[in-house]
Amino acid sequence: MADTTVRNAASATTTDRLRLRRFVVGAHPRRTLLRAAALTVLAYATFGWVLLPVRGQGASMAPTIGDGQLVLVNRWSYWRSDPQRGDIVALRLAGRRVMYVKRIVGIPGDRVRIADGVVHVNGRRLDEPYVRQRSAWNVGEVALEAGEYLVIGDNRGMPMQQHEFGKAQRSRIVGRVIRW
Amino acid sequence: MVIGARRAALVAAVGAAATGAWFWWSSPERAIRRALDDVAARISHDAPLQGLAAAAAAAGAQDAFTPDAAIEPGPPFGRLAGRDAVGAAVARAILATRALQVEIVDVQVAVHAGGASADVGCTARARVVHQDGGETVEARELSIAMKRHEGRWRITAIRAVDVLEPVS
Repeated sequence: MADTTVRNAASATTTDRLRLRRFVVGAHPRRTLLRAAALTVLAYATFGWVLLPVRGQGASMAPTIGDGQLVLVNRWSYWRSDPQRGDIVALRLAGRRVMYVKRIVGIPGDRVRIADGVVHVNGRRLDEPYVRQRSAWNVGEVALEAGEYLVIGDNRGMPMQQHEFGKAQRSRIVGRVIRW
Repeated sequence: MVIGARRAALVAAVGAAATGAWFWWSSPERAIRRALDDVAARISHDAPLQGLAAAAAAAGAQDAFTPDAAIEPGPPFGRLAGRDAVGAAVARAILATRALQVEIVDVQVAVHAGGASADVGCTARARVVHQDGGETVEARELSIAMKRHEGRWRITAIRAVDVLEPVS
């Protein structure tokens, strides 16, 4: 009787182990391993080369991108087309670990000026529904040459002197920012 | 003593790995990265530093520069000329901040022929907690010139690169 109880307990333990093993590696461990390897390669390729995860730091893009918010940078977005006015883009510094995230308000050929915080492009006021606050920023007319983009953050409520903005070369643009 | 072929292969592999690791660790590129990380660590502080502690941190950072070092941080800051001026500016920055975390990333090193000087491109990121509690994050691309001076790699010049050309 006691021997049977011990055997049953041992059998139950073995069954539990098999279940656990099956839960972890599946019915076909070799296939599971291949799937895991394929997923790892896919994730590495996707998030290392195509969609770069970037965490926003600072307030220059508020309220569109908050401090600490995670966004993705699509490196292929400008493969067949050029950046457009209104696009939020990531700009590389020495590499891709730290990047500026800004909005394009002027593209090559544009004449841009800022009067009392309002951006004017080619003599017309630029519609910017994403800007919630405006300080009295004033910048004289800037003519953008080929390959030059005027980029600026959405937070125009902060003092202009504390806000990093200006002309960026096309080669600095890493890709378009995707938010969700 | 006879050593088996497998054991000999293992010893050779471990020896090769150790030699490779030593070369990697002692290479000029690696030494330069360590020197820059060391400067960043000396400037960084989690809590307010006072008098002597700030002076000691500044002196440690100052030691990473050559006597004739020059820094062009870009507007709104003026040019700093000489190691003493750099040390004084570092001390002021430490005293003016409640906390400061400096990190050097994306480091690219090009050692010149002869191995006595090098050009470095990198990004410096700083998270600053001001005395009033306000917090800002700054990032700058830097072009750094370094040379071997008195037995170690020291900074001779730092210039901030204009990623965004100012328009104002």
